[in-house]
Formats: sequence, C-alpha cells, structure tokens
Amino acid sequence: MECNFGLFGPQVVTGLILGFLYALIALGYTMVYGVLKLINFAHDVIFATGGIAVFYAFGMWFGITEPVSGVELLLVVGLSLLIGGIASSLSAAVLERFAYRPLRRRNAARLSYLITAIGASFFMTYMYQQNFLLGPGRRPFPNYMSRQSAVFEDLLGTRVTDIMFLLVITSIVCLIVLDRIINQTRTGRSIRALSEDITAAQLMGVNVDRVIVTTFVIGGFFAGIAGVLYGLRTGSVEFNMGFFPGLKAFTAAVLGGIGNIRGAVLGAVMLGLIESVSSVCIGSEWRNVVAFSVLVLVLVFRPTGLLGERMGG
Amino acid sequence: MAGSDRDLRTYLGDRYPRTAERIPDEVIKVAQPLFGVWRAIGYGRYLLAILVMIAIPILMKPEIVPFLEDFDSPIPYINGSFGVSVLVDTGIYILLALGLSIVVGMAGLLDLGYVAFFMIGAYTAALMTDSGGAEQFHFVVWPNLAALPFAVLVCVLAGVALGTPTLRLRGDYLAIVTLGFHEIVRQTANNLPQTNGSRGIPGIERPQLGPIEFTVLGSENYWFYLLIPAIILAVIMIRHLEDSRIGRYWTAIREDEVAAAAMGVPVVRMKVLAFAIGASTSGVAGWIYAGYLTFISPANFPLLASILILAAVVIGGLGSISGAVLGAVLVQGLPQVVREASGGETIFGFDPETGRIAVFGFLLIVVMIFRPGGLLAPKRRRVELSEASAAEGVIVDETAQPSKDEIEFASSVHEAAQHKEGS
Amino acid sequence: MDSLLKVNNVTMQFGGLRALGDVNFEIVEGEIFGLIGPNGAGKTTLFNCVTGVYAPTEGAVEFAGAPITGKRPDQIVDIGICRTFQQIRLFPNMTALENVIVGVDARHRTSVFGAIFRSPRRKREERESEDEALRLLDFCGVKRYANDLGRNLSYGDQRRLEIARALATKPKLVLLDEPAAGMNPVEKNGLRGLVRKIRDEGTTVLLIEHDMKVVMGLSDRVAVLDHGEVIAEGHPEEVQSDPKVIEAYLGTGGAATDGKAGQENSASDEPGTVSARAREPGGEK
Repeated sequence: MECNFGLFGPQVVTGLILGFLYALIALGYTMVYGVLKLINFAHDVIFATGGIAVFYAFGMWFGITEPVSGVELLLVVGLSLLIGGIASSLSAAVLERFAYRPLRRRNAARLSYLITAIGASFFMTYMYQQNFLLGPGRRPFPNYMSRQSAVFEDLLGTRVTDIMFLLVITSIVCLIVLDRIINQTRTGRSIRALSEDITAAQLMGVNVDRVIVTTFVIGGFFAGIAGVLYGLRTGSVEFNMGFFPGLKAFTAAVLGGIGNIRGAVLGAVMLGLIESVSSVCIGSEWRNVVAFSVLVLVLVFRPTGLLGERMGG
Repeated sequence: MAGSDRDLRTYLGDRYPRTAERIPDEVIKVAQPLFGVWRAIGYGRYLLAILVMIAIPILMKPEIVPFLEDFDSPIPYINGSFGVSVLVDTGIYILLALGLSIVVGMAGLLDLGYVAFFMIGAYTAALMTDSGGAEQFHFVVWPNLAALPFAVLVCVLAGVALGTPTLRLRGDYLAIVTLGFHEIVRQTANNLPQTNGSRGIPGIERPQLGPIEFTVLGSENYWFYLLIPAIILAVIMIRHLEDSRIGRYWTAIREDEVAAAAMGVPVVRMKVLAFAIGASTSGVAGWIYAGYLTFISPANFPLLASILILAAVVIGGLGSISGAVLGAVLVQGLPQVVREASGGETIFGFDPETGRIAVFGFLLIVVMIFRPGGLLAPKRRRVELSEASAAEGVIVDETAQPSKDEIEFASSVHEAAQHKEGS
Repeated sequence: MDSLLKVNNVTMQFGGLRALGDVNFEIVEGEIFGLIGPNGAGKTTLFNCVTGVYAPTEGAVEFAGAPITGKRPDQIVDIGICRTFQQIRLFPNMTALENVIVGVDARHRTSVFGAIFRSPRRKREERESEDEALRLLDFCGVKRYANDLGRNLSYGDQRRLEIARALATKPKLVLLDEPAAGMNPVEKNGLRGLVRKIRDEGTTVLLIEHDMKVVMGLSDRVAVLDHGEVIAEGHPEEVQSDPKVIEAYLGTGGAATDGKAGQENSASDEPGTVSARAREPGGEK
C-alpha cells in the first residue's frame, strides 16, 4: 500500500489522458442535464456506438488491417473520428426523438425519464452483445494507427504514444470548439437560454424541440469521438465498453458541477488523476472503488460540484 | 370500506377504466360469483396462494411425495428438477422484486444497486456458517438457520448506512450513487481476501429444519417450500405497510416530495426506512440463495440482476404488490422456460440468456411511454359515498360580494395606472 | 389577543439577490391576515421562510412564543403551521381522500411495527383518519370527489382539496398561497366563504393574494410587501389609501392592479404541477 513516488510522473500523464477522455464523454451528460435537468443514463451506449461504428466501417467494410502513415493516416484518423461522431450523434438523436420526447409531451414524472434511460442503455448494450452484432467477447479495433510508435519517448518518465497524443490533441480541439459553439453561436445561445429557463426560452421563440435534439447531437458527437479514441487506445471494442467510462464521466460531470461545461472538464481531469494516482498508491484493483467513493463523497458534501451548476461560460 | 358485494365491473373499472368497458357482460356474469368469494375470504387468499404454491412442485415432480411415486407429472414439459429450479429462481426474484417495489414503486427512489443488498445478505449467510473450509474467514460458524436474522439485520443496516447520507440527494443522483454502491460492494468482495476474492465461497452449509434435510440430491423442492413462507410474509408485511400511514407517506414522497414535507412527512427518515425495509427482503433472499447454491462469488450478483428486478417492478406496475410478483415471473421464470424450450438455440437471433436483457430494456421504454402504470395498478383507497354527498354542490358564500370600498380601491388604482401610462 | 406568529427582522439573501430585507410583522390569533404585494415582492419567499423550506439568512420567526427558525418543514407542521402552494402541489395519483389522509397522518403515531402487525392503535387511527378526511372534504366542498384521483379534479377543486389537506394537519395557523389564482368569480366567492369558515372554526389564516377584492374583503389586517420589504401594514382601509402602496403597484408597470394579473401569472404553470399533469394520457388508476 505504499506510494512509489518514482511512478508519479507517468501516473500524472496517464491520469491527464484518462481525464481528457472522460471530459469528452462528460460533456454530453452535462449538456443534456443543463437543458433538460435529466441525467441521460443511456449516454454510455452512445459513447460505445462511436467505437463500434468505426469497428464496423473500417474493420468489416473498408478492411483496413494495417497501420497507415503520413497524409493517409491523417485522413483515415479524421474519417474515423467523423464516422464515430456521426454514428453516436444519430443514436443520440434517435434516443431523444423516440424515447424522451414522448415523455416530455405528457410532462412525465422524473422517475419515468430515469427508467426510460436505463431501459435504453441496457437495450442497446445487449443488442450489441447478440451474435448478429458484436457478440459477447472483445473484438479487435481496426489498427490503422500503430500502437507502438511514440511521439515522445520520455515525457516525465512516460512514453507517450501517437494514440495518446492524438487523444489529448483531439480532446483539446473538441473542447475549444464546444466552448465556441456554446458561447458564440446562435445555437449555443439557444442552448444556454433553455438551460436557464425552458418556459421563458419557449416564449422568446426558441424552438425547444430542435434545440434539445441539437444538444443531444452535439453531446453525442463528442461522445462518439471519445468512443473511437477509446477503441484506438484499448485496441478493442466490446458490447459493454461504455459502462465504466460512462459511469466515471458522469462522476466527473457531477464533480465539476453538472450542467456546467467547464466544470465537467475540470472534474474529468481531476478524476483521471485521482484514478491513476490511486492505482499506484492503493492498487489498481481498487481504482473503481476509489472513483465511486469520490462520487459519493462529492455528492454528500458538495452536491452542486466544484464549479456549481450554471452552464454559461 | 368496500364490501364484498361490490360489482366486479366497478372494481375493474376503478383500476383499468378502458379495459373494463370492453369485457362482455357474459364474462362478468360468470366471474361475479368467483369475485364475491375472492373478496369474502380475506386472509384466506393467502391460504389459497400457499396451497397453490405447495401444489406446483408436486405436480411437476410427483415422486417427492412418497405415495405419489408412480404418477407421471401432469406437466410433461417443465417437469423434474429443471422445473423446480425455475420455481426457486423465480421465487428468489419475487422476494427481491417485492423489496424493490417498496423502494422504487412506493417511495419512488430509483435504486439501481439493489442487488448489492442481496449480495450482502448472501455473503453474511456464507460467512456466518460452515463454508469454504477451515482456512476461510468466518465471522462465526453457526448453523445455517441461525444466520437468517443476521443476514436480514446486516442488510437493513446496510440500507440505513447507504441511505442516510445519500437520500438527501436529488432523485437522479441517487440512481447513480446506488449504481456506484453496487460496484463498490461487488469489487470489495472481489478484492478482499476474507471473501476469497473472485474465486468466491464454496461449500456453504445448507439449512436443516428438523427432519427436513436440504442436503439430499434434488432438494430444490424443499427450497421452494422455504420460499413460500418468505414470500407470503413479505407480501403481508408490504400490504400492511401500504395500508398504513407509512405506505401513504411513501406514496406522497413519490408523488411530490416538497408537498409531502409541507404536510408533515419526515421525508429523509421515511426514505431511509423504505431503503431499510426494502433491503430486508433481499436479506432473506440472499440467505436462501447462499444455502441453495452452496457456492457464491461476485459473479453471481451482476448489475444486470438489478436491472432485471427493476424491469420486473416497472413492468408489473410501480407500487403494485401483485405487479411485482407478476413482473418477477415475467423476467426470471418465463425466459428460463423459453430458453429450455428453444434448447439453447437462439430465438430470432437473440441469445435466450442475454437477449432477455435487451428485450426487457426495450419493454422498460415501451411501458414508460405507453403505459406508465405497468400491467397491474396499485390499490387505491376508496370509500362508499352516499347519494347525498355525491350530489352536493359547491358552497357559494352569498354574502361575499365585493364591498364598495374594494371596488373603489381597485378602480382608483386602475385609474392612476392609466394616468401614469398616458403621461 | 395573543400574537401567534412573529416575524422578526427576517432577511433572505440568495447570492447577490436580496429577496427579503428586514421583514417584521405579527399575526394575532384568530385573525385573517392578508399579505399582498406585486410580483416578485418576496411573498412566497416569506412563506418558505416560515414553513422551513428556507432558513432565513438573518432574523427569526417565532410561533406561539417559541422560535421556529431552522426547523424542518415536517417539524413546522408538528408545531402547528401548514400551507398550500401557489402552483398547486397535490399528490396527483392518490385519490382526494388519500391526499387528505396524508395530512391527518401527520398527527398520528402508528409505527412501522404497528403498521406491519396491525396494532389496535393503527386500526383506531385508520378509522379516525378516514372520518376526519371525509369531514374535511365535506367542509371544503369536495367530498363528492373523494374517490377521484387528485389530478382529475378541476382547477378550483384542486385548490379546495389542497386547503382540505392542509387543514387535516389541524394547524393553528394555515398559510394560503394565492388560493384564488385561476378561479372564476363564482369559485372565488365560494373560496371567500371557505376562508371565513376556516377562521370561524378557530384557525388563524395568513393569506397571500393578488386579487384585491378577495384580500380586502376578507382580511382583518393586511401587510404590503414590496421589493422584500414591508411598506405598509394595518387595516385594509388604511392600507389601500396609503400612497406608498399605490406607488408600489404602479411602479411595476401597473400589471397587478386587479385580480386579472394573478390569473395571468398562474397561467404559466411550471412543468410538473398537477394541472400540467392533468393532461397526461394513459395513466391507469
């Protein structure tokens, strides 16, 4: 149970990388919460959908089985992120349209939303598990990016692979793009208006249904990108690959103050660090226990999170 | 209160207005006397239920009764130990669904980690009885039956321990915290040497009730008989709670927490109570399960089980006791029979074991959208009203005409307002 | 006459917003006390401070001589204060009878074990609560809906049912938050009769109301709240001739000059209220 401080550097780096991944997923939770005051429990499957879509598109149809390089690599990576993002956006939009909207129409109780979300999550996960889709085991993720080659051989004692580097860069770009969307575009203004007061926004002429779908689509897009990056990093996809990342991203969103986008990023990075440092200090088999204990403690002592629950930047 | 002479159609109409209208008169005419008997026997219903439950395993496997050895099962297909093991599994799920129906159905608290309590009950039983050899950690080594009250007690305490800090939270946070709680409990059992980690605890002692040994081969029959009193007692307990201020408080909290508090409901205390009482049935279920399987490991208590139990409660009808029982049969009993019928083959491409989770996940959405009440609606309290009170009108206070002063005040303010706008 | 409720220097601060500033007034036992003021003046916030939903930032509330600040809402009910809500908050899927019984339950003491084992006390209390609930439903003129679900009642009847539910806790003081909002003139008339009847039965009434006719005709004394401060207090005639009061109503754009303003406000129901849920299809009984 002793901390080996020599391993701290690598733990910080892996923690940060993990944190950025959680942040991308957490955005979806936090945006939907901001607008609908609803936890979209099915967001974990939306995340998984991104990775699984690329698994099908590249592995099965395009048949990319070897690492590529140069311009080709950039194109392939870009395309895969786009495919993952679009697939997840679509699934999020379908979920909103066919599961949540009917409930909104009749002003259903909150419990109904939660149960629907749980149902959707398990429905999709176990559809993926059926043999006509992924089946029960792990499936190899298309290895169009080398898992060996590293940009930095030694950064704070860590070997930073191309994939890790890609993960961080993509996440940062996504976060900046989202910040722009929320704070500087018409759509973003509508989303913020909805998160402040849905009735008032409606009276001011905001098309509520459209903005809500847009929110799901944006959140889904980032989750899809995260799904692809996660597939690249772990080298595999699995029907329930979304469960733990989803749960932790949610923890991160709550930690930062759910509904608050910057809070989600802060919470995600903190959780990534806590998780990777505790793997060294306590033992990696306890890292999930630590992460959820953090969640419980945060909720009990600071239920509005570190930065509070306001969406605007 | 409603008498036993109540009309069947009225009774059904109260619960399922649209369905009741469609039932033809002939059916009502035939069913009315039966309904009368049903209402007249009162607690006799439970006796009837017990008789039916005792009869089912005998029908499936007549040889368990000495003088029926030569008979063939009248239920040819699901006979034998398979049929009875389905009954036991279903019975355990009924107990779990009953407990969860208090938490989710009545009090409206979405507990996604309910199986954690089941697991705590089973592990308590395992660690208090002879199990897993001498090197296995034990709290004590007691006869199996002696562990039962402690399995229940530990579950209740766990319910209070989880509930006290978290039940102040908003409803949707609770769902995720309970999910995390399940993961914490499962991983703890998976990592601790005392619980033998992921290898689990084998060789758990089976209970002995006087002359009835639970050790003989094919003893599943007796296990089902052990479940009968547990289920009946749980149903009576919940029914009685439902009919009291405690049950009404839970429903009030589910309906509107703020209003409940304003009507004097001690919200947090009642929620913790719902958690604790809900956990108690899973303590019994866990104890039975540990002795029945004689081997438990964290893999026996997946999150999926929580989701299936939730599906049972929701599909059966939130807050409805009979609904919870029906739901448990649907999510646990039926799929096993279907799986056996399919001979392990896939059905429309669905694996019978994992596919049911997809199916029930989908059903959760469908039920919430199209029939939020589920299949069976909970009992609502009603009174017989006399004709006079039904015809009585709204009180109109004839004297309460606006006074001259009031009109003057209103119009003076109004005039002043117009004056201001004009200037 | 003894003072029943004493609000002493109550201040309520939400972040930078001062919803109540140094509010003082007293309610005497047996009176109908009206609390009026334009929208956003802090009337409901004050209700929430008295009933334990909020703890005031500063100041204290005393009830029958004992401090009640910082107590939980259910403790406040035990002490003898009960309320209704501006946005109706019934238990929509419980029958009218059950709604009221929940209120009666607050005075009962059946324990978990008493409930499980059907103790004699539980039997007695259940019988009592049904009789009492029916009496109150009758008192408020909604007895014939006893078996209907809360959400299926008309708007005016939902208001009456909410009052019946509050009275079921046998409060010494009942707080009515805009009981006439959204009612038609006939219903309003009936309501005035009901409020008088409540007072005549010995319950003190604190009434928030937008409708001047209702408030002025009913109240023994009135306090006017504006921007979180009491700007006038006294008998209705004194208050309505107070220039500050007229100014306060005009200062907000003259919106609240007559009863209609209250109706307009309550028309924009928050989602999740009973009236909004009344449209919910497919709910089975």
